[in-house]
Amino acid sequence: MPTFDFLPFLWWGLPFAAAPVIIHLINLLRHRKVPWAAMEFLLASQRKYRTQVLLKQILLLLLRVAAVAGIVLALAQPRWKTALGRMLGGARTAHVVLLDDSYSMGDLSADGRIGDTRCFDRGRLVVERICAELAAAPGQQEVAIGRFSAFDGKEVGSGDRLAGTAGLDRDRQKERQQENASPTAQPQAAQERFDIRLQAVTPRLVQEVRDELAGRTPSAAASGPRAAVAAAAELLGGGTGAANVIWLVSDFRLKDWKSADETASLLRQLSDAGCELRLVDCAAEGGDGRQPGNLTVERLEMAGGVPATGVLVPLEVAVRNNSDRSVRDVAVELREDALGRPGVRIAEIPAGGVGTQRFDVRFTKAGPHLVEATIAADAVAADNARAMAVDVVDRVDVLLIDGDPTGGGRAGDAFYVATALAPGAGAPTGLRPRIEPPRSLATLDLASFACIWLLDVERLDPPEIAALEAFARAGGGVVFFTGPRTKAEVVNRSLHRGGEGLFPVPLAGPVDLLPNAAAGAAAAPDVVVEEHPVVAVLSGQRNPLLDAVRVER
Amino acid sequence: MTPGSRRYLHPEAIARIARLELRARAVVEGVLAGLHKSPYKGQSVEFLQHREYVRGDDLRRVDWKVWGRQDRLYVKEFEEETNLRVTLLVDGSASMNYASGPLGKYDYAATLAASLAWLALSHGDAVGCCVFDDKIRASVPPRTKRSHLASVVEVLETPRVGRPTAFLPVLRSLAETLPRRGLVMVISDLLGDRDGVFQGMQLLRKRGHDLVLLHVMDDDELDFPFEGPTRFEGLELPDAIACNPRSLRAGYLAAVEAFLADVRTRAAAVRCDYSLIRTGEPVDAALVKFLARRASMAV
Repeated sequence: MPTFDFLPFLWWGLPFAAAPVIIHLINLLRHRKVPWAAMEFLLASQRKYRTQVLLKQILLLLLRVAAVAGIVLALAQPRWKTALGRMLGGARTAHVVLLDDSYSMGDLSADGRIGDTRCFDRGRLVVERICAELAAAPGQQEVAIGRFSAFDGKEVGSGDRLAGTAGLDRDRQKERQQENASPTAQPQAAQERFDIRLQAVTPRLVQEVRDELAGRTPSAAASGPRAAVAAAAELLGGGTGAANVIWLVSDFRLKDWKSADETASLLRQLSDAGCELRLVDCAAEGGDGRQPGNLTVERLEMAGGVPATGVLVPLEVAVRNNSDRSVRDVAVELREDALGRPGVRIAEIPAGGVGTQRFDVRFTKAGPHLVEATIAADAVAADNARAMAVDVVDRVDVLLIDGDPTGGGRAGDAFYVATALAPGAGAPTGLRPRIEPPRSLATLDLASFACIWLLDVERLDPPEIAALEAFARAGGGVVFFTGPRTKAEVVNRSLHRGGEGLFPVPLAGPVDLLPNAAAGAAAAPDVVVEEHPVVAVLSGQRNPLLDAVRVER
Repeated sequence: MTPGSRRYLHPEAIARIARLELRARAVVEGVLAGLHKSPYKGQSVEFLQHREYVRGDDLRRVDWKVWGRQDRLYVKEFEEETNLRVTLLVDGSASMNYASGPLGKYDYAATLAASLAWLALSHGDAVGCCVFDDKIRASVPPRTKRSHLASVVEVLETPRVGRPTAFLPVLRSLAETLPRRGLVMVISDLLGDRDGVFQGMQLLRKRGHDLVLLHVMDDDELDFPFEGPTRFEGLELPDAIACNPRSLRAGYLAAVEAFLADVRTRAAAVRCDYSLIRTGEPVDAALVKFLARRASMAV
C-alpha cells in the first residue's frame, strides 16, 4: 500500500468515484420516451448484443469509476513503495540522506593541522548541495534527511540546534525512548526521527534544509551508522526499489566501520534490492597523509577509598590516544568544583593505547562535588573533557560484631579491626567503627551502617541471621572473619544453607599452614595480591608493606 | 377542392397539401409526358383530328383518301381510351404513425398516393384507393373522372384506428375483388407481416396485375441517429426497450440492412417494381425518381 501526501484528498475524493454509478442509475430513471415502429430490428439487435452491451456498460462504468478514483489518487499524491507501483506510473526517486553527527565529525583537522572547519560542517554543506541538485534534477525527487544520533537515541546533549533547545531535545529524547518501548510504535518513531521527513524536493525545501542544519553541531556520542541505515531501510520499505538512493555522509572512522557487520549486511540487502548507495567521505586528508592526533579523556573515576570529608580519595584519569603514533607528556588539567587544582601528566601514551594517572582529592565538605579532567585542544573537541560527581559524606559507619563473649578488650579481635579501620586523627579513613555483640543484629537499625563485620562469631540466632540477610539484600556489605570459635558445621547450616543463605561458600574447617621451607628467604612474600577487583586497592606500588607481612604458625 | 384534398395536395399552404399538388403537377407535366403507358390495348378508337404528316409518323396512320383528294399527306389522330386501372393500397397501420419530421410516414404515403392518383387521372386512367391495416378500413373503386381525386383523398383522410398490419387477408381480398387486370401500387413500411405482403402480392401477380411496391421508411428508422438514454416503445408491438441507442445501433442497422435485402429479394421474386423511399426525401423528387426509372424500364 502506498502512503499519501494529501490523505484528506483521498477521504474526500474517493466518494466521488461512485458518481458514475449514481449518474448511471439516474439515467436509468430519466429515459427519453420514443414511440417506435421498427421494434423488431431493435429487439433483434438487443438479443444479439445483450451480453456484449452489458459487458461494455459494466466495463465503461468501471473505467469511469477508475478514472475518477485515479484522479483522486493522483491528487492525494501517493508514494508507491513497490516496484509494481512505480511501473504503474508512480515512479519517484526517494533519496535518504544520513548525516553522521557522531563526535568524531567535530574533527577540525585539515591539511595536517587544526583548522576551523569541522567534518560535520563539510557534511552539512554536502547535504545542502545534494538537495540543491535534486531540486534541479528532472523527474520527481523526494528526500529525507536524518542524523546518526537521532536514530541511535544518543541525541541528548549533542546535535542541538541551539543551546537553549537542549532541554527540549532531552524531553523529545525521553519521549522517543518511551516510543521505542512499544514495538508497534517503532516504524512511526523511526520516520519521525528524520529531521526532514520524506517529501518532494522543492526550492523551498532546500532552504528549509539549510535552516534546519545551520544550527546543528556534532553529537557528543559515538553514534554508529547501524540504526540510521536500519531506519532508512524501513523508510524505503525494505529497499525494494531501483528508484531509491541512500546517501551516507560520514567521516567513515575505523571504529565505526571495522566491526559493522550488521550495517554492512543491511547495506548489502538494500543494494541487492536495487537501492543505490552513495558514500560521501567528509574527513579531510592531511597534508602528508597523516592527521593530527586526537586524544580522548576516556575515564575519570574513584580508584578505591572512602569519599568522606578530610579523607584522601584516590581518583584515576585515563586518556586514550586515537592516533597512529604515541604521544608523550600529556597534561591533564584538573578542576574541583569549578576551581582549578594542580593537574597531572601522563608520561607516554602509545598509539591506540590508554595512559592512566592517579591523583588524590581531599574533600572538606560533605555533599556532591564535581571533578573535571581536561586535556589540551586537539582535532576533536568533544572528547577533551570528562567530569565525575562524588557524593561526599562526613563519616561511613561500620558495625563490628565481636564474637568474643568476654569482649576481649584491647587484646580482642574487634579492637584490632576497629583500630585498623580508624587508626586515629593522624590517619583519617572516613570510617567510624562500632563494636557490638551478635545479639545487637536483631535490635539495631542496620540501615545506618555501610558495612557489617562478623569477627569470629560462634553462632547466630535466626532473627539475627534474618536481619543480616535483609541488610545484605538491601545492598549492605558483610565481611566474615573466621577464628577459633567459628564452627564450620554451624556456619554451613545457619548461614550457607546449601547455597540459599548469605555465606557464599560452604566452610571446610581450619587448615594448618605448613612452615615455609624457605622461611629464611626474604625474597618471596607470604602475601601476594592478585589481580582481582576485591583486592585491587592493595595491589601495585602503593602497598609496599605487604612484602613485609609474614605469616607464622 | 375539398379540405381533405388540400391536406395532401397543398402542403405549402396548410403545412402539407397545396405545394404538393403544384409540385406533383409540375413533376408530371415536366417529366412524365409520354412515359406513362397503359399495358393494355384499347377496345375502341375514336377519331379526333387530322394532322399534317411529318417525318417519322407511322405510315400506317396516313389517311390515303385525303392524299387522293388533296395530294397532301395527313395522318389521322385518335383519342385513345384508357383501360388502365390503378389501385392504390396505402398502409394505415400504427407503425405508419412514426414521424421524425413534418411529414409522418402515413402522411408521406398519402401524399404519394394522392399525387399518383392525380397523375393517373390526368392521363385518363381509372384510380381506386384503399387504406388498410389488418383489414381494409376505407376504399373507393376505380373511376376515371378527374373529380374522383376528391374521393381518393377522402379515403386517405379516413381516421385510422392504430391496428397492426395484416397484409395477406387484405391482398387476398383485393385479388378476389379486382375484376380486371390493372396496376396495384402498395405503399407501406412493410413492418409487421412481411411474409403476408409477398404471399398476397404473389396472388395479385398470378391474377395478372402489375405490381408496384413503394417502401416508405423514416430517416430515423434507416439511420437510427438516437443518442442518450432512450426508452423505445413499440407502436405495433407491445415491447419496450430502455437502452443506450449507441450500444444497439450497429446491430439495429445490420438488422435493417438484412430486412431491406430480404424485401428486395422477395420483391424481385414476385416481379414487383420495388422502390425504397425515405421520408426525408422531398415527395416530388421521390416521384420523379420512381417514375423516371419506371419509364426507362418500360422502354
